[in-house]
Amino acid sequence: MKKLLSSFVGWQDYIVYIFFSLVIVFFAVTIGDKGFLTLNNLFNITRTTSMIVVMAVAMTFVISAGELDLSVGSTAALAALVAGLTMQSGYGWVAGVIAGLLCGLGVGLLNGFFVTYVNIPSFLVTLGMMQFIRGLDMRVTYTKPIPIAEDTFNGLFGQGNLGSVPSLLLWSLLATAVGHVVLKYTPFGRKVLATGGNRVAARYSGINTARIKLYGFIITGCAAALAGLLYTGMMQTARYSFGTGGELAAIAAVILGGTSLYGGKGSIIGTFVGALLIGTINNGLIIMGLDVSEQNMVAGAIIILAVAFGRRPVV
Amino acid sequence: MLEMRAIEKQFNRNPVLKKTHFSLRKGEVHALMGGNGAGKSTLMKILTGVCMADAGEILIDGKPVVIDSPKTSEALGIAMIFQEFSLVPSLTVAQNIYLNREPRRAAGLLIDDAELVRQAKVILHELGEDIDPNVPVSSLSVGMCQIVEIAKALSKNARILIMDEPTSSISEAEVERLLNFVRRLKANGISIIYISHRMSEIFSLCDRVTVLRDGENVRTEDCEKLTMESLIDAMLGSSVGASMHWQARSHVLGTAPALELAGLARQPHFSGINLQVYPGEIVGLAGLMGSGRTEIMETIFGLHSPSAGEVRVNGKVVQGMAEVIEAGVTLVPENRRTQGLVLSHSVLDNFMLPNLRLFQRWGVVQLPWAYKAVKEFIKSLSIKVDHPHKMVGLLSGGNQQKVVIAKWLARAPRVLLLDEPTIGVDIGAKADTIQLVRKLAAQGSAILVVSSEFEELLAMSDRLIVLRDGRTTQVLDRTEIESEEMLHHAVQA
Repeated sequence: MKKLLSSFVGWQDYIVYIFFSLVIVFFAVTIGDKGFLTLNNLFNITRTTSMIVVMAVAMTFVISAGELDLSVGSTAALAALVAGLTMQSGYGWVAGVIAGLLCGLGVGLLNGFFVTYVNIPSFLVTLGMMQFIRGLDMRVTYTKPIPIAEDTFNGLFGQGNLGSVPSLLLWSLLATAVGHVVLKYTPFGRKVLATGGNRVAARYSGINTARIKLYGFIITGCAAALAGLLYTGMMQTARYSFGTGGELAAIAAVILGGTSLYGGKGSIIGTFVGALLIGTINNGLIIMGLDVSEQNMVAGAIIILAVAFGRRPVV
Repeated sequence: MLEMRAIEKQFNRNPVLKKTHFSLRKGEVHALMGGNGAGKSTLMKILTGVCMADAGEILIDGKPVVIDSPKTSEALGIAMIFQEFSLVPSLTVAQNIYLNREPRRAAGLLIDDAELVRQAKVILHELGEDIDPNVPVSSLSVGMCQIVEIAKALSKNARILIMDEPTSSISEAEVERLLNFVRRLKANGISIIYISHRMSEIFSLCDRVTVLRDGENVRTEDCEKLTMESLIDAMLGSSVGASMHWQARSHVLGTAPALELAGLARQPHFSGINLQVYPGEIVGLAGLMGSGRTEIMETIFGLHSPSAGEVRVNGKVVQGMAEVIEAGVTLVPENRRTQGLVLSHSVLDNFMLPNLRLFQRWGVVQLPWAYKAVKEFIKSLSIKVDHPHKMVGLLSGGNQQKVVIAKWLARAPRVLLLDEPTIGVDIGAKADTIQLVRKLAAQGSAILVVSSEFEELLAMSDRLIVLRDGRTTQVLDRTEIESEEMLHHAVQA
């Protein structure tokens, strides 16, 4: 079996594309006549997955560097609430956006500090941070939603279109493009991969691996904040519950996309398709009439399968 | 071009280097030899800036230098070649060579990958190696990884390379390739410190040899003036404790073999191994690193499945670890820190782990029983520990090793496999361990032991199996072996 599999050289690198094509074909055949294939529905998929894309692109950096960030979901909600409150208090949407992003930056700095300078495994730091911030989210407005009346903001970060393309889709394309170039073609990206691939070797080559990891957490923090703004714009409201489970969807998208959970190897394009795959599956399952509980079961099963078929670390 | 003078170094008030000196000329390959604990690696650590000498001086090109960190060492053109650990497996050859020094484009914002590959090609070409710079390092063999590492070092203008046992885990064909590569480096004026136990390599490659023993210089000589005998003599010295001498057996061996290997093979590590070990007998496996010793042990124990042949214990074929253990076979693994012990657990917990079944009633562990048993072992093996609840990680190496052995003794093993039982322990603990192994044999265990230290093998074994490249080349009865030299010859040949 193993021999048979390894004879398809590198097929594991393309697993996400294979999966994605299969899923599209499957839904097209089974529910194509129920509106799955309409342009409107396809745009809808890209809209609802854009937050996952943004978080997952950033997560690709952290995972490639051999770490993990579980706090992105609750950070998104925190940024949404802070931005919402700023706008509600009449400081305007620009101030709101900046305040939201600063929140993400702060959380990223904290995560990075605990991981690199206090030397706590990132899984634990960000697990705690996830819980802490979710609690903070609920505390900020005592779970009351904040309606957003800024039309520019809602258009830019939410339901608006640029031409006929949804702005949310543009945000996810932008994140993907920037992420791809940075990971693949910049010195920073190379350092991230080296840090995750063999930290000792990276250090011996003069790379400050602690700083690289810190930057990684800052990236996920800020990306989570951006995702929070996108949730807010889409719903025209800021809610404490935004991004619940978003960290898992983002991690799943990254792993599905062929990035090694053990670090050292990452693909942003793969992540993008991975996120779309998850969004498409959710969308298709909804159209098929499955409810949230069943969607969760399918999504969980797919993650395990994808990792089982994916690449293992080279020892 | 390099001189190390009167280097002294102590660890925990244990002198490891005693006024040791070493010199290296331009374009020279200089072998550094000595047994375990001779001080070779400490000397190299001082040269690479991993630790600092307590006294002594280092001169490069006649000028005294202070090497206080790996960075200064690198800046002085010194590079240590590790076998593979210092490369990033997921990156390509070119990316590894120029890691963190990549050529840039777009005003320094982006990496110029085309230029990167071109430069890597140039340097690999200069070295006469046609390795594709675009393949990931994970797809290269260990030997190729070393060449990539050397290329990386040379691209940073290294002039002195330190190679530590470079051929220990690579295949015969690759050894030849690597040696030729080293010869080319030498011709280009690169100086190389070559650490190896393989005499044939040293005689074919090196200009001079320095032998260290217990941190002291024993000999530095041109290779041409040395013979294998004189080199072995220099390494061994004559200081061997009484317990390190072979003692004739008084007990009678069992009549039926306790352990039998019939045509055992595991490609590509070893093949065609036939062997019987009788109750009460100690058999040694002698061979160099990479000769298949450890793999044989692990295969017997069922950690790997053999590609051919079978293992019989008391005449019954056994397969898989569960059956092997059930039949009364025990393995004391090579690396006690990672394979033998849970360092953060107590002596008691470690001792109980494989014996939980002996110390339970109605599914509940009976701590007092285990406590009593471990107390007895601490006494009988004279393990130095205040109480059984002490964390194993806090014990000295020799005492840790005794705990590893103790944890298996509780089940009175019929067959005991010992892989490097005294690695990294001091001479006193070594003698204790040897004494213990003898006692076990006297009690009727069949024992198979692997050791890189021949004096230890000779002290214990009734018979010796000589391995080379995974095959048995000789079976020697202890009485046939007159000296350690003879055994050295047998494994080198």
